[in-house]
Amino acid sequence: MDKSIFAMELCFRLVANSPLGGSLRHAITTHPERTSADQRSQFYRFVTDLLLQHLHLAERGCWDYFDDPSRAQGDFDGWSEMLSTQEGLRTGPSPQDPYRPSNRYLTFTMSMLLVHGTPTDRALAGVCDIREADLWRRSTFARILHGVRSMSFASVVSDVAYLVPGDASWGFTPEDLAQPKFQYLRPLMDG
Amino acid sequence: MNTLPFVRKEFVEAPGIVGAEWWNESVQAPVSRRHLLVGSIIATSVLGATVYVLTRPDPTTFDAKPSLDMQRQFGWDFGATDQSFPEGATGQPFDATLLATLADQLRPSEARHRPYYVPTLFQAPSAIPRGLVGDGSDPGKNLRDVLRPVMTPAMRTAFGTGRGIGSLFADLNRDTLVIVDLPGPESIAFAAGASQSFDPTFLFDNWPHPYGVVKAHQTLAAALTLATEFQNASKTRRGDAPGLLVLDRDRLAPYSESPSQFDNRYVAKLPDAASLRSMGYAHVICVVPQDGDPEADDLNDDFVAYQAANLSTRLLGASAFARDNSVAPRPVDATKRDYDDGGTYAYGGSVHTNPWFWHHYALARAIAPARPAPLFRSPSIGIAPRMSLFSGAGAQVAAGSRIRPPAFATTPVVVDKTDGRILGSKWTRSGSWMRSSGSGSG
Repeated sequence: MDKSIFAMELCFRLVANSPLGGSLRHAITTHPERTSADQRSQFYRFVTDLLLQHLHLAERGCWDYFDDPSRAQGDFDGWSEMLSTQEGLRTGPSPQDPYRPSNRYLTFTMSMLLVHGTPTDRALAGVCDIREADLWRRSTFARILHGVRSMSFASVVSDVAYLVPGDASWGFTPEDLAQPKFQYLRPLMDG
Repeated sequence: MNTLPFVRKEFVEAPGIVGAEWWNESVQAPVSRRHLLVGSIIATSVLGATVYVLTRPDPTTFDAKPSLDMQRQFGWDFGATDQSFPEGATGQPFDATLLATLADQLRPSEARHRPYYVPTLFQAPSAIPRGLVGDGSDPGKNLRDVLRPVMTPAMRTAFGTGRGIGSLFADLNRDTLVIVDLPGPESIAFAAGASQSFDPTFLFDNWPHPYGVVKAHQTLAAALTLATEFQNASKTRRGDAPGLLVLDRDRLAPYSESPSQFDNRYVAKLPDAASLRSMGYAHVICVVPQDGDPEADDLNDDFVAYQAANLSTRLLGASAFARDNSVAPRPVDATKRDYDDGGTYAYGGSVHTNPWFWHHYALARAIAPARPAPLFRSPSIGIAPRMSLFSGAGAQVAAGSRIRPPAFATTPVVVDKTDGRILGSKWTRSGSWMRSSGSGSG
């Protein structure tokens, strides 16, 4: 069975009283252990609605779509292994200088492995058909999120979603995100 | 039929991460023929059985291409057209009119040195890409628009040190070649300081890149900042000036294949021993950052060969020169020459210990001068063969060629298998050039 892969990661600036982190956490932790394809679709409708509502707070991100069966599984494994390795995560709360407060950030990542060539896969391929100059535009991320929002999960082989951090006090600092390991998250361009 | 086919395979809830992975059991079996035909359309025509099929052949593959070739072909910011350099300006504005002619402006004055001049870096601002990557909708930025002036305290010190060594050689014979191998901007500043006595010959064989592990944009900016100094020195310098080969010590910077790194490294191309002899050189001094630092790995084979050909080859730590604060500073117009602090830099940190340079390096005078000795001993790091990724292990290498590790200075690209066309950098995160392809006839 040939597969395609889609992935998106967004980095949001944390603001006081924002429901973003708490709502994403609630959605992940309360989703049943065994569900239907419709319930998976509902989950992602809820998640993408949240992300779209807060897209103005997203400062960095990346997304992938590859219909290359030779790399799809490997790439998906790369995204999903974060759950087990937790590599690169903060190991404690991020310190805050009371005299020089700075921003804190969270990231949300989702990735899907799709059956190659299905209508869902082809529809997603069309949504992700973006010219190079627009790859990191906020409007491009919005377009793709709308595409994911209307996906049918009947032909999704596997999917993974995770929120980093789970506790807002562990949010990434600007210094964390300046490290080379986060360079793949590129600044979003307005427009 | 299982109405709840999605099962949660993995779940984590921790302060650092909350997430889960689900698995669709209904698609884990081999896909039925009915599913295979979901993506296909079969049609017939009145002329006979024809098939119109939406196929998904894999049209692309990955390959590794020389980084500089890709930059020359598709632009200096290949694969990172939306990125720029993070540093802001730290120096006075440079003369932007020099950008187009920099390679010519900084050419060696002496004809004997010109065959070894490598103008690659200085050609970058005026180069025009030969092709377009992907759908050509994004040609990238003009390098000229993103270069920023650079001036650091380390550059000012290097300029003073260059002046110091230049003054030592001002009135001597011309049989000593000096090689300066400091971080790029400091090598440029050193060369500018020494250009009163030496003919600088630059060997920067790469281009800047937003993710370049070699920060060549800073070296280029330093050259632009100091270009006028080089031009003025060439007009007043004595004819037949000895050569000063200028290298960037960071040219072999660490690199690992990742989206955030571009391999713009290179190896130095030095003249061989026979060429040095033919140019009249009997001695080679290589300036390294600190006393005790070895020469860079890609120079070891050359230096061992020089010694084998009876060319004395010594290392000199730039740190052996320091400003003598007992000497009144020279008047300098800081608004025009912010790289010159007006100081006098001497071997051992004092004009009184300066003559010890000749004793330590046995170039002109072997008699210990009747003056206070420097606080450090005569440099003792010699040249010895050593193994590295750049060693030829004694193998005969063609003149102008250099040993390099596999995949050195290459960048991964996506190639169209049907025609070999380069579609873009492997790290350009998009599916836009991996579209489904369709074919049909009827």
